[in-house]
Amino acid sequence: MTQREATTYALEALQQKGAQLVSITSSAGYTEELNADIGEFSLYRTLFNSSVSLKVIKDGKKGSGVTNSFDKTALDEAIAAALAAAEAGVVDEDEGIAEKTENKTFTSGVLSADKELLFQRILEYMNELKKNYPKVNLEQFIAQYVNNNVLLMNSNGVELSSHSGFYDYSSMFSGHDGPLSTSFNGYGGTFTDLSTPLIDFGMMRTVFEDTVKSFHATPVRGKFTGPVIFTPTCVGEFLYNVMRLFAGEAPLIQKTALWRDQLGQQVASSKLTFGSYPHDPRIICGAPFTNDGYLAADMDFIKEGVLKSFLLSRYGSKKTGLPRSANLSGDLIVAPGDANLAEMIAGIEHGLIVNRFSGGAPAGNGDFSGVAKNSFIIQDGKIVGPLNETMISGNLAEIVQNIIAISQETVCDGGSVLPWIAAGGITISGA
Amino acid sequence: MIKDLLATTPIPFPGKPTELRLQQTTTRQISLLSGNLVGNAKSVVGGVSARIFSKGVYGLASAAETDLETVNKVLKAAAENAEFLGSRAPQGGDNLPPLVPCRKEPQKVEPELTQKTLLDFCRELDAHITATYKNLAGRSVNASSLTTEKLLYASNGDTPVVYSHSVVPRTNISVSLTANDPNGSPVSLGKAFGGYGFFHELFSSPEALYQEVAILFEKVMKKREGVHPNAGRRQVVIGSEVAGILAHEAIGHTVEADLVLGGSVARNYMNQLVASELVTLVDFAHTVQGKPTPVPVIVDDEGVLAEDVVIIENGVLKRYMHNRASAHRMGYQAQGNARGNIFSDEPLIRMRNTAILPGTSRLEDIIASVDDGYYLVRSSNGQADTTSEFMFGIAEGYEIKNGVLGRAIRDTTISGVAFDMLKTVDMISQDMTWGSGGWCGKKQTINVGMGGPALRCYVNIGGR
Repeated sequence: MTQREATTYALEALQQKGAQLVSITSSAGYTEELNADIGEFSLYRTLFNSSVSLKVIKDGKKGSGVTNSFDKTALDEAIAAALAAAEAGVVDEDEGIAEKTENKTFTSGVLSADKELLFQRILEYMNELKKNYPKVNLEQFIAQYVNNNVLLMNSNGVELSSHSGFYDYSSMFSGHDGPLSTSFNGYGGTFTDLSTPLIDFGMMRTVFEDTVKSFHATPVRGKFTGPVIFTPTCVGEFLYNVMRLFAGEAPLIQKTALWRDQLGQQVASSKLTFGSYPHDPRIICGAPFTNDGYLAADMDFIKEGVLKSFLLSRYGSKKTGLPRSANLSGDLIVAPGDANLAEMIAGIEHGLIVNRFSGGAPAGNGDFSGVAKNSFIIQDGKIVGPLNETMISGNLAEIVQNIIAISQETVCDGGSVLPWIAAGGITISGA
Repeated sequence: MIKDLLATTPIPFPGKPTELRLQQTTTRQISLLSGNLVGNAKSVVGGVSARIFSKGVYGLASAAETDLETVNKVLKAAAENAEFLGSRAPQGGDNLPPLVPCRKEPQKVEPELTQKTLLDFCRELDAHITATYKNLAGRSVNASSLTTEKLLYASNGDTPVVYSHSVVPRTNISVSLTANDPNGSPVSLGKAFGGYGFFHELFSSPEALYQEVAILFEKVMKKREGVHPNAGRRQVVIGSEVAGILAHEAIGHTVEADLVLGGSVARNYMNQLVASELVTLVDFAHTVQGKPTPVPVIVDDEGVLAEDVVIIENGVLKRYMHNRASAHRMGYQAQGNARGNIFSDEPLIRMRNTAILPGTSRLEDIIASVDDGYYLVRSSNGQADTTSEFMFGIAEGYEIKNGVLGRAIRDTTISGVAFDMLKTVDMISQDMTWGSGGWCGKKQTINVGMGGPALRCYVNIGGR
């Protein structure tokens, strides 16, 4: 069957078998992926992708089934599995599917791959790396073109579809100079055209330059509490954790989310504004609709320190009585601040600039600790040397309240737009 | 069961080292979040992939259907991809050391399991928790039943010489309990039960887990009164579960041959003393002490017969883990470490069941020997570095004062440089346990086994 035939077949079959509410999401497309290991091409992979996700509600009980085949036998098995799950389930009046809205089709990105140019761009990247950063070893490089067509249909008559195509790459590398080596680091991003050399993308060159400055790393001495500048390469991870832990669906349903009663209230420094903006032109192929069948809109999470939204699906919203999120795509954009990065560094007497955080999963109350990787120590307003074996610890809820400055400069990687953020009150300890 | 497609209709392979893999991954999943059924699904993901080695590079293609027409399509696409890359960036010839012919049939057949059986089990366990423990702020009960069936044909040239059909199940029931601390902030602790095996082989009844849940409840009550560790370098007793992630993250990744070739610090240490002489570290293939490992691998996804890899023996680094290409390049023999996760994934160098071997000390004697330190019982996550600097999240731990266990500690992180830290190991317990549900996220997320005894050593610990 074609994608549309498979989707329609599943929708109708489930209704005929007694499901009152049905939502089907299917996808079809392909991926062209080029891999290099230890600086040499190693693999070219083509994936013909397909999937069908079925959600049914029968007599108030939900069940789900998934198959990655449009074959009738596989679909029939997934239909039977979803119905069996629903029949075994429990009545939950908060379950449901998206209400009827205007049917829409979205097209974004580049809809066919130029694999020859992609190959040439990777070759150029590896040659430029060898020429300009000879002490950096490229451990792994993966570049791909992804073409994806998503179709969502439900028994309320919702029909939303998207056709998208994009390129992305990821790289992992480390510095080596005789017996000396650095921690590995990684960088990558998403884009729709191949007009720019990959090495000039986002912070790629900056991260390479930081790598070759990191050979003589030492731990900080002792333990102190001080400020840390988080670079765009780790700001996103921190803010995702903030929203997931304090305003995410699972802790809200469990009533353990710290910010469950804080909507519209000040939860962070007034310097901080960020949200998820799938329609921002800097975001590549932002999701135009949610997995549960609603059109996506741009959304502030925190505006000038005030909590504006939770991360809640339709189900989570009904279950908690709190507003549903305008989108769940995580296309993160943080508003720039009024400081420039050089001033931020100059303003720190004794602290760190952290490029990568390697830490344990933060606790539900926001406590976190981990290793400051690919990072540098700041002393008397200057970056004085690379770090190793140094841990940072703190609390995420306190960090967003203790923001000292946010940079004017931002970096876009196609999936996010992020500045540098300086925050105080972080425990810094060396080996 | 996946049918032997080539038994009736032989398909010519392209005269170069080729793998054709038919695979189906079946997952049943239940999630109860504070009594709400938020997950209730069955997923079947399967298909075929072909990978061909030519001019020192690989071409791979995959598709969801497994009929003969699709198989021919992916073989053709894989050959075209190998030609595309090999003609533009050749890295060598068409040859790899030949595979040893073998034929392996599955040792298990997936029994019937209904969603209702799994859900009823979870609901009964959840109802017990609700009825028994009144001062919890939240709870979750999750079930995951995962069965991976693979049929691999691998050739040195025109004809497959390896036929490997396997069925590997993993079933986990996990429970997480959340209590509020005196300030009203949530404190959580969870535990996974089960491991290798089908549901009915591992879980007789919910009642069988009640005692484990009671212990978990006691621990979360202690943790809600817990303290932040005193940050810095400390002597610790690493419990057996944490030792498993130490074996995997801190050491295992640094000795994967792709990372060694990429510049891992372990490239300089072959045949050198890298750990205390008490330390022997093995990546087991399929059997330990006569029992199946958590993730048994008989033949890997390149068609190599799997065998144990003794990585560190009495403190000396002895072997790296390889795929066929890295073994050929570095002059070793592949030992079955190449694995892909779902059908479309290329085999990567992966650990299988990695563990430090037991020593001679008793755990209680090790704890009693520490004047001021921590006993670290359970980890959350971990990450390694090519420098061998590692970190693990610690979800459960306790102070040790004058040889006696004290207050619980809050979630924290430990770190160190593995090949330095291993030299500080001076006591290893005589018992050894395997974790219930390990995963590794190197490009593809794949299940792994991690185990070990308890160790006394020095690490850096995060805190205040």
